[in-house]
Amino acid sequence: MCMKPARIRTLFLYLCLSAICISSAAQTPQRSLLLVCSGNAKIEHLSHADVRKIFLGVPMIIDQVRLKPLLNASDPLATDVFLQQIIFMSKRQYERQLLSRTFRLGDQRPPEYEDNDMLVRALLDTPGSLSYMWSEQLEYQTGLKSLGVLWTDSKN
Amino acid sequence: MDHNDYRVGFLYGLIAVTSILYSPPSQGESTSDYLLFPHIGASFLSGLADDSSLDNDDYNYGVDLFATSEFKNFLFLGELLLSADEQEIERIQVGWRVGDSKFWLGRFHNPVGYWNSQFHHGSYMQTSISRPSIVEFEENNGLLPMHLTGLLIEGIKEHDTHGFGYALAVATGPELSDQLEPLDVLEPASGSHELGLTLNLFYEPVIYSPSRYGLYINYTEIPAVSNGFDEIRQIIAGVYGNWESQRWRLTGSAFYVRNELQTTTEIQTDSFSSGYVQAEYIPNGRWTIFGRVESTFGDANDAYLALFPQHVNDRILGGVRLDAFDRHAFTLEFSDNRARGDSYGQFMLQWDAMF
Repeated sequence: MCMKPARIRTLFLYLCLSAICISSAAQTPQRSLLLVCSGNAKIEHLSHADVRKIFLGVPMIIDQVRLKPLLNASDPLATDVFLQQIIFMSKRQYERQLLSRTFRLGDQRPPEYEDNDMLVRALLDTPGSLSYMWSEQLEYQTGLKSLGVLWTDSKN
Repeated sequence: MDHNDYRVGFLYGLIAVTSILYSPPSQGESTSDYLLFPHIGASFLSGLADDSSLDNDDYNYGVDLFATSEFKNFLFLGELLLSADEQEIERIQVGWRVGDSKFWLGRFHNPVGYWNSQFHHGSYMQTSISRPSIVEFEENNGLLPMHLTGLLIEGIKEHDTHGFGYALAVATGPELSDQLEPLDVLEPASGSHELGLTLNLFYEPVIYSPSRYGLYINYTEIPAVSNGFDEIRQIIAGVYGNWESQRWRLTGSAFYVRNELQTTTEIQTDSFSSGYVQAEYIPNGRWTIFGRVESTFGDANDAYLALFPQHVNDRILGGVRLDAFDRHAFTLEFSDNRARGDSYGQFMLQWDAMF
């Protein structure tokens, strides 16, 4: 029993589409949220718990330099993922918690950067500064280094 | 204080805040943060007794100025309230950070319970317009010392992601004249102020998260000569809790208050209990619906409560808050209140913001 030419063409088309999908999926790099700092910083590793504390305003000193968290507000998705996966709070809860700590304890709130270029400039210029950005963003930045993966998109 | 004193106080405060705001740019490890909380509010009362001393309506506006600065391990914190009813330096503290602890000297919030140190004059931060009456400010018929001046030590220790914290205050408390009068930092020699001690211990299931449970005890010696007493020795003890999820928040506290009212010939001892529970629900990112129940027990013949006839002993309230634009809040609040000689309804509306 032989197949009709039309069915063969359809099957061939499906096979081609599947191959393209599999191929493109394999080539797509995993999207990861990274903890970043200046390439000159003497920071080697920070645990997620340390990152959470630093971004909640808790002082932490490494090599006699106080770490300074910078919020990457240029990418709302990155901020949402960061708050949910590392801080374990919604944006509203996080803002209120920071405000509460400032108001009660005099702690400093992390500055927000809505412009990516300004964020990178601050990371390069401010000793001890830390922030987060997507892995593909870091590829285009010179002078910054990754301190580790904060979160990876499991769908990729 | 008379009006001239207020003007001098206002001037000093303005100079202090201006000098902070316009100080040279931070150098090295110095950092600063400034917050402004403006508000405009109105309050309408209905069902007042004929001989009530309360007004049918009240309008208020003002701004709460807050500044904090840090240089290495040295800290500064100041809060100045400028409103239609009051101009006062609410907090002025200099501090030193040692590890996980902070040592403060100055005038600060009495860490008695949860609400007083969590919200205080920044009404933007508290969802409701009103405070529970048991933690009402001294100038608003408050029963308890909300401000102390002296030494405050506070800190938190981490153990397996849990937080165990404390706050210890060794300070001077208020004097009782026609209301409780905390020490005025601009006129420290005025009035008579005695010992105030507070210890607050708390537990955070996840350290630095909003949920917190604690207990506290306070002892204050309150001179009250103008009320016919040499001194009132007050002990406050209680528990509190604050639990939060994405959409819900529950805050509550219980107070036991024991007073020894001393004259040269006798000591009268009375006690009462009070508590409140506030629930908040966020149906979406902008709206918050809230309600609160407050109740006092043993208040009927309490000699200390009799000195505060306008104090609200029982209250049920509900309200809604809209957070709009960028850090603006519009709040409506309805309540049913019972004071010593008055029962009345209250409708409040307020705009708050933060810059």
